[in-house]
Amino acid sequence: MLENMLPNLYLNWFFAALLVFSGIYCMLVSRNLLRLIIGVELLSKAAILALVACGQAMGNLGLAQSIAITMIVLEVVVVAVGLGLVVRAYRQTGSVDMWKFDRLKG
Amino acid sequence: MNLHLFLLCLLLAFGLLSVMARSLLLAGISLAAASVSLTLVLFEMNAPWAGVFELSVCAGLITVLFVSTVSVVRREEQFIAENRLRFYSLPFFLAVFGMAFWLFAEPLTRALVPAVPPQVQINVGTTLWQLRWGDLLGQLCVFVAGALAINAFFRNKNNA
Repeated sequence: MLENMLPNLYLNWFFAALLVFSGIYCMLVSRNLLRLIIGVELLSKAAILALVACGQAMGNLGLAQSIAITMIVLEVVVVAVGLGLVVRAYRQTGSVDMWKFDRLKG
Repeated sequence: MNLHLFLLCLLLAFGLLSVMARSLLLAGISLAAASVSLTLVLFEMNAPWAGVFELSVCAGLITVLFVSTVSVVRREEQFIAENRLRFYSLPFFLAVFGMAFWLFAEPLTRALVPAVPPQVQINVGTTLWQLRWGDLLGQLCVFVAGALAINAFFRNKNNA
């Protein structure tokens, strides 16, 4: 069964790797804090895809789904806290450009 | 297989659009569309519970939060002078990375996935409520921590 599922697993991991690359690229080239959160979201989607694909190939989809659900919950909390920080920083500095955050006082 | 490939391409296309879009609102909507595509992929892979969570939380709740935040800070977006060429060159770099990764996909997969016989299928309910109930406690703790953090960000100065 595992041998039959491997081509599907390559394909899913290939697309997950492309999503990881897009997410990291987005986080590296942008100075906009909201785009950073978009990068984190893409990384998370890639991880969920890879996780469920692996669970399907190993014949343990129940465990993969339960971990994916846990990950989605963590993702929403991370994004909510991140967006809260962005709004707070915007109110403080009037910008979402991370280069403007070099005047922090202790 | 063809439907699966089509849905994966759709997921990647919306992911790319969310990175390359100039407007943050369009990027947020593309992200929601990518979530919907991932949901369809998960349904196609016989993982409906993960799909339902992805659809309701990522495509629903996170999109609402993101669009609300964009509506608060949208004016400022135009004043960040970013080099758009970097964003538009993403497909080129992605193609190079994809070709390089495809060469290593098979040996990498074989190295990472142990060649063990498939285990007995246990459904999500049994896994989540009986085998991994500690995860639920962890999720609850993360929720509480997130709520407290957001409360701390927007606390009134007089009440601090």
